[in-house]
Amino acid sequence: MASETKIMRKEEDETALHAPSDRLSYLPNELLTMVISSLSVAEAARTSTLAKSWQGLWRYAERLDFDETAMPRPSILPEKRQIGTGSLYSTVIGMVFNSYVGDLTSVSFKHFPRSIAVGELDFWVDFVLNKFKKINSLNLKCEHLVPEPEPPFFPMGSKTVKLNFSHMNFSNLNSLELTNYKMTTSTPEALNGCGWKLKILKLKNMRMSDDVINGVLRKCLGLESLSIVESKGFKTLEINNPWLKFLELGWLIVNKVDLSVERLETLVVDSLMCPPTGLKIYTVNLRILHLSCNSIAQRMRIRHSYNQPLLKTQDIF
Amino acid sequence: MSGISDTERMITLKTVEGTLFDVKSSIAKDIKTVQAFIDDSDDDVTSPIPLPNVFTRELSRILDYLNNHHRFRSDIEKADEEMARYDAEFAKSMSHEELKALILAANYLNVKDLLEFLNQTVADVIQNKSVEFVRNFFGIENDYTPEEEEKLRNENEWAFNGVEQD
Repeated sequence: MASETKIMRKEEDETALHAPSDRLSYLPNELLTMVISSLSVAEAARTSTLAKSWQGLWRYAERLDFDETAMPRPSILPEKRQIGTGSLYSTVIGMVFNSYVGDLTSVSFKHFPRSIAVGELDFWVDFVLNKFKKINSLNLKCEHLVPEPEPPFFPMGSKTVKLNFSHMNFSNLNSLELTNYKMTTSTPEALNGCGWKLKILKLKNMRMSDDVINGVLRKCLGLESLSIVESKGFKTLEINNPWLKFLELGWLIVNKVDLSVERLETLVVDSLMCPPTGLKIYTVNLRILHLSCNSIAQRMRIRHSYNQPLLKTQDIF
Repeated sequence: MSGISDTERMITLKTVEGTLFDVKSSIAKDIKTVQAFIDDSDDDVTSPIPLPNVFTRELSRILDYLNNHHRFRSDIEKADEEMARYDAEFAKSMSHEELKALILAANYLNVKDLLEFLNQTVADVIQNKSVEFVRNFFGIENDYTPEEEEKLRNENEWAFNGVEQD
């Protein structure tokens, strides 16, 4: 402890040589709020106890990250909860928005499947998207109570949870990230009106039919960055979003990939399995091509309906 | 300034201490405050641009950061990996005081990417730390009475659960 204090002193002295040290004694509130925006919601709320001048700062954070996995399990606080008032996760979100006064631009919900079953997630996503029109970034992730094995140990097998996106209004978003959901057939409706606005779409471990994924892609014409990894349920991918610059495809088993993306600059392909005749790529601006195939994917045997061999990344290119 | 072989236009910046820095105009574009100054003078900038809020030490680090990021971006092969390694090294090399000084400078100069990176660095430093540590970091005097602090803690009990306090 004593040595730590010494080191701190030394740094301060050095700083003092270069500049008046009082300019470092505080950062303006605007900058503190930016720092707080980078913290998890619980961490942000804890800053209220630092000093009186900090008490309300976190309520202006531009980004809120609600992570149920970082919150105490419901059993920890039984006496604080009234029966029938919803989960602790939902209670916390409610308390935060009760006192929140900022201009929210980015929000993330990491939740357990229960939040979908009881309708809480739908409720809060609708709430934030309707109340905060400046939100441009939304990140939804369904976590499992027992962590699922990550690829390559158990590729393609992770659970997905059905979520009805169709009533959500994504039309103001610039960036959308979804992990571990099953998309219902009406999902593309959520992207009505996205048009040219949505620039970044990341889909990880999603289950979606051909119609759904290709329907979603057709709705988001302005996409510049697209990532589809560890997802299943579809056999065909048709990507012709004219402004696409970055595309990542990983851990997919498909029959057909049709890329017609003139402006594509970066293509990242990892462990893609696709029959040789099914792959069409048209691009003129490609600058970076990153290919890899996991050794487990290389050894995987996949039964194919036409007895046609499946090519894996390393054979394709 | 011998050794500059390309013909790119150079902009001269002047810090509080009066130190002069020559900066390529492509780098100056990332420094929005400087770029605004250039735009306002109809691109006719011949004398050094004064930066009355920026000290030599911070400006030199910021220019280092921008130069390196430009270099990584032009060398597309391993851009992401090298940039990540450089950023991690950059974050590690700063004392807490330097970090705060850089945030102030990056904010004044309006270098958005760097400012975001620095804010995230601060968030990483104070993550899961005790209230006392965070107070020390920001140089905050605790002006709550123990009762007031206890009350706030109770109101936000959910945020404190499971956190080790010392």
